[in-house]
Amino acid sequence: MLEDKLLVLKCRRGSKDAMCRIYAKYKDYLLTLAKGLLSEQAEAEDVVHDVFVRFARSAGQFQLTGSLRGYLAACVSNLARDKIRAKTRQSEALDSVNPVIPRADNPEQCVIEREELMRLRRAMSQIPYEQREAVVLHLKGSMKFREIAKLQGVSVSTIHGRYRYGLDKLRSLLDSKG
Amino acid sequence: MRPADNIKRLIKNLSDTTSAEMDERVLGDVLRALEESKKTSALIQPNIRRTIMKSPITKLAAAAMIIIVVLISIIHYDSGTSVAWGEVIKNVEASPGFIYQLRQTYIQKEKGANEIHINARVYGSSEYGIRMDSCDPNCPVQTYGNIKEKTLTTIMHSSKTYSRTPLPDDDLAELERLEPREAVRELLSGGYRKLGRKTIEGIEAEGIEIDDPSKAKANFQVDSCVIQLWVAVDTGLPILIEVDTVGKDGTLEVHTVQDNFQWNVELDASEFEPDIPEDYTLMEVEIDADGGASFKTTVKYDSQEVVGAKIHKWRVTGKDPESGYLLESEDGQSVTSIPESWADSPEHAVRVQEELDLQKQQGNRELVVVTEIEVNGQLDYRVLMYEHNLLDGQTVRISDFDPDDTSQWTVINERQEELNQLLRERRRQEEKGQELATTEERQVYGRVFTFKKRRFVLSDGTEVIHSIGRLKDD
Repeated sequence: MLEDKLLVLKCRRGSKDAMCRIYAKYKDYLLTLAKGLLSEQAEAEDVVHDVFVRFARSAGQFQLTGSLRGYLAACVSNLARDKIRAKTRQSEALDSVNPVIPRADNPEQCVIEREELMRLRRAMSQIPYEQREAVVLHLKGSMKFREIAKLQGVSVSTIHGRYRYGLDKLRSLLDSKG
Repeated sequence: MRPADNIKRLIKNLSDTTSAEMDERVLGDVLRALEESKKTSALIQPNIRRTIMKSPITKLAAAAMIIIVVLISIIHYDSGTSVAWGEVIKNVEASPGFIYQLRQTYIQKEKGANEIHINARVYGSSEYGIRMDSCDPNCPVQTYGNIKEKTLTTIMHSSKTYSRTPLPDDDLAELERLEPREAVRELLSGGYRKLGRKTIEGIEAEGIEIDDPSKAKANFQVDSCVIQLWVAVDTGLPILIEVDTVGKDGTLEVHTVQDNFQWNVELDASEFEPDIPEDYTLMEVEIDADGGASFKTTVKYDSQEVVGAKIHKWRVTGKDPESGYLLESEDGQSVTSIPESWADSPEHAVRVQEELDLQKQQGNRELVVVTEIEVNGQLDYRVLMYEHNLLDGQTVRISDFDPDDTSQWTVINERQEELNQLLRERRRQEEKGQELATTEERQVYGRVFTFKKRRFVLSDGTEVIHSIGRLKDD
């Protein structure tokens, strides 16, 4: 937290080193969030790109009053939502990029987990965006329901409902195709 | 059925990493954006701010009125057109009061160019003075220039505040120059050309044009100034005045339009008496010896609100659970955030941010904490924390960098995590009663701070001294 504040202050002075460090620190986290929300690799990369570029543009004026991680995550969520809204029809296509294989000492287990993750991504692209957002931001973004509710401007119970419905739907989709 | 925990585990296991190609693409754009940000935010925006800030409402209004009488005075001596020019000056002099619409656009013509728009209704009377009402519903502000009392009163309805200052002699002189004969003597030397006839809003009009930088009423270097005056053929009264001013080597353009004139209006003295609601708060105005700064507070609100201009207008783009309201500047060049504990609505957040901007620009905030890190005996960075007293009664603190700090900020990168760890450990020890910090008193920007200094040696042998200074009597 303190490091982030200092990095932001240094960015305000135009430090490229500080900006590179912020990018290195949060790029994978933000890409994972964006990919979880948008499914498509290219769109997710675009969102992360736009978030960092906007942040850099405003670096001279930016005041960090909360956590930088939370701020950037909120920006990803907002831009992802904008992209979803901009689409006339939500694409269900899966991109061609395979998910990163989780670490597993057992090669057989590795293959199983890789298959599971691919099926999970496919299922996630099929649940309503609001539910996906609640699930991804809570489980992957480590955001509390209260925080997601504030971000989306809805009640905590609504977010909790979206989260439960999202998980149920995912479970149903994975079971039906399993 | 697949256990929910398994799905949660799968989602938590989601992990994407950026490719080298993406890193290269994004970082390239990010660093370019950062470079642009340095140029635009540090140089251009303050420049245009300063330009507008030095443009008090009286200058805008008085200059606008003077233009009318000056040009009318000039054409008083011309008799070669079908307009009864000789009668125009008499017509204007005979008008007890007048009303017109004033629109101005300031354009900064450099990278990151921005525009500032001003839209106000102006009420004028040679006897009572001038009044300007902002037409921007987001900036309901009224300004009154009273010639007799020699005062300038500004009422800012959005913040329920007002200010009242003496009119500086320069501005008062401009208001008093509403007397046309004085203007005629000064400006008769300027040449002009006839523009002929044209129909404006269905009214047959004849115009003249004067091209003379010395006629510009501006507070910046003027390279050129072209003024056009159009007078209705049937009434012999002005219906349109346009002024195009270019200054600062072509980097700043100001376009002014005055139209929708109403002449021969009976304006009562009460129209020029400020009606200040009882629950409005009087703002203090500092008067410096320096004439340019004497309008400090008033100018602040002139530029921000009085005439409808928003130098750095913010809008709320969303909410973040930790950062609060996310704000973006109207020009899209800046973002910031205001915590929810500071603002209870998006509108409130915008007001707070604008007030913070203004206070920072004015230096109207108090330095309360100084944090420094020395690395091997050299100052590595210094961060200042300021306290802002806001109009809504709350006091907030914001960190900012030291504008005079030229230190290196080297520790912030690889060694910051280690330093943080050592700091946390040291504080735990101190909480248990061990006194491991030393103290010293030192002046920073003219105020005495008591610094608590902690010395560390990092794993690579670097000696770091971390100091936090608080106001001695805080």
